[in-house]
Amino acid sequence: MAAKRTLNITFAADFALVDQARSAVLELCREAFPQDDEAVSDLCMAANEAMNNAVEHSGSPQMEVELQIDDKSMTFRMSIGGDRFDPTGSAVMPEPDALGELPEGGYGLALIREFIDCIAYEYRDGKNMLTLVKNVKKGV
Amino acid sequence: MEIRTEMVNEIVVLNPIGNLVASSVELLKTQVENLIEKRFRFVLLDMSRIDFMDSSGLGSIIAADKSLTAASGVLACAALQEGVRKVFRVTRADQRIAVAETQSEGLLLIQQRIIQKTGR
Repeated sequence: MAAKRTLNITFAADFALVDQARSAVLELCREAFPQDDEAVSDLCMAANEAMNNAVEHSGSPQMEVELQIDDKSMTFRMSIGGDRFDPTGSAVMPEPDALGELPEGGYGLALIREFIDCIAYEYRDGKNMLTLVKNVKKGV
Repeated sequence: MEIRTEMVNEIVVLNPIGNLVASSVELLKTQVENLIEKRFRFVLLDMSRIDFMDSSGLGSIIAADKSLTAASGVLACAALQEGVRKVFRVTRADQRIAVAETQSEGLLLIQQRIIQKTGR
């Protein structure tokens, strides 16, 4: 059973720093749930896509992320100012075009949906606040 | 991320090491563009040392596949780690891009495509 753990990071909205934040999230999740690689990997993938999306679309210079771990789940929260962007809307996996060619982009939100168990969004006090929850396997 | 390169007959084997993510995709794109410019058309991407790949990384592979196909070439990916394999599977990229279990199988797969294309 994983002990409760929390991680808080505030950093400039930059792709290179997203890499560092993802690494920190990965390390803590792996420590907590070494038996459930897939859940850890899924949470990190979704968190990474959410942070990249925020860097690309919010226009805000800074973001805050928080990771909370209990014995059943990993909860990733992200808070960032700037323009409102709701990633919980329609997020359909891109389809090949008429020639069978796959598009080069547009997968991020669909991957978040695919990899996460619960997603919530609100825009409050000028901030986009996103919550992603991934449950872990019991008794593995 | 860094990318090591080797030649096996007429196939260029790219060995990226690290994470294929938004902050590093330009390196792969540039590498493939340079290869096409120098008329190398057959590329195997050995992904055994890609620990993590996000949607931007996938996009860069799809772009490389399109560029090489447009140049009458072939791209294949080999030795995907589990997380990377999952991204290929859920996006159905594995139905469009040639994927092999190992580098040797990837080389064989490209050789077969070369024979189909050139008849030699």
